[in-house]
Amino acid sequence: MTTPRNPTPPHDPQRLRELLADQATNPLSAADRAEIASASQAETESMELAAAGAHLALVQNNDPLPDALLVKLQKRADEFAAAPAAPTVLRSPARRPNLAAMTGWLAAAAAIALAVYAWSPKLGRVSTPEEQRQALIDRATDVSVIPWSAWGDAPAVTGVLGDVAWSPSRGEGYLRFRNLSPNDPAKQQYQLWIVDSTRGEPLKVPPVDGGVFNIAASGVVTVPISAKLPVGKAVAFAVTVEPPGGVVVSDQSRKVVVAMVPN
Amino acid sequence: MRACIDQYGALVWSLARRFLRSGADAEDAVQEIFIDLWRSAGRFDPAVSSEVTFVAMIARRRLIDRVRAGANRAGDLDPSVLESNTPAAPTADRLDLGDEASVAAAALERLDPQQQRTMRLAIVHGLSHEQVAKVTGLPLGTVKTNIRRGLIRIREMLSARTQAGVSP
Repeated sequence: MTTPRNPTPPHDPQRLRELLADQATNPLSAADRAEIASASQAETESMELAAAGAHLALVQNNDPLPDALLVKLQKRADEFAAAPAAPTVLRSPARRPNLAAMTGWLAAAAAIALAVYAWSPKLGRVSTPEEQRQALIDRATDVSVIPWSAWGDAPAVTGVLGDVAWSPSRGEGYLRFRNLSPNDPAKQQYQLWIVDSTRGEPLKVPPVDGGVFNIAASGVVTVPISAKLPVGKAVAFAVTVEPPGGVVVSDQSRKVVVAMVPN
Repeated sequence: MRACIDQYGALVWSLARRFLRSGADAEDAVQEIFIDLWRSAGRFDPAVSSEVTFVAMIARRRLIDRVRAGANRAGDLDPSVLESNTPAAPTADRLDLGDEASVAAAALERLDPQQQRTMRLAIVHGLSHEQVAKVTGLPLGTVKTNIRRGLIRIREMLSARTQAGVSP
């Protein structure tokens, strides 16, 4: 298990803002990245949006895509859209994006279940969730890998092993399971919950829905996390069993495993 | 998906070419960025930003990651080349630029010419802070201060708009 980093956050809010501004235009040093690792995703993104807005304001014209690159992208788009639902697919159950409020392609993309495969320029082929997980661990400096534990006083789900790899700065993570029983999606599905301490006291505020997923076969399975709401500070990840499609609020009658993020 | 490419391909490609020295790197980056966009689509919140600004944010983030991972940064340090095709003043007259651009333009217009130039070199041309210092002849600390103040100001103005209930 990777030891989580415990950087000392900047005590001066101004220092935090300055570092976030630096990050939005320039790669930070490892020391600076460690200083802002505790910044929330919302804080980080607000500065990135400011930089993006400045770019759009400053640039008059964009160069057209080269024809060869356009063809490559169209092929990737077709592959992405046509990718079959993999054995494990995360989809937010009852909460649907407000498609009426979106425009253009994002409405279509948000309505399509996210495929677990991605294109990798280096590998020249479709990369697996396990490869994506490893890439995150290799590239992000604030990844915590937390093993699953039995949940409260519920009987332990026999023999389930694995962990959660989570990067707060990227809002990206992966679940990994060994020996989690396959489910019949027509009868029940697994659902991920992310406890976010920035939303209030964990026991009083509903956790963030991390989506439903299926396990098609025993053995080691890796599942990408796709939280549908920004996660400010994840303090725990939990898995329950729910009806097909999942639920908005779990009654926690069928707990599976939990992973508590170390302080 | 194809509509996404049609709508934002030029924007993403131009960003990549400005950040990365190698055309091959830029092509790889563009493809990575679109994959990232399609995977991130569910995270887009129209209450937080406009679609075009969200796209630009994802693209810039991926490009800065690539530079940090060792990709050669573009950076023709000839000021006449760098600044020959950028406007003298920020503008947000086009309706397709999103509200963030208009807010940013308003903030940028209040900067002095030196500060505007610093912002343009770092944000549009993707120069590192050290490269900006070299091009402008300004101390590195001044460059950092100019960029920080400009972005923090833009963020404050965007935040004020959100709190006032003005959606992107």
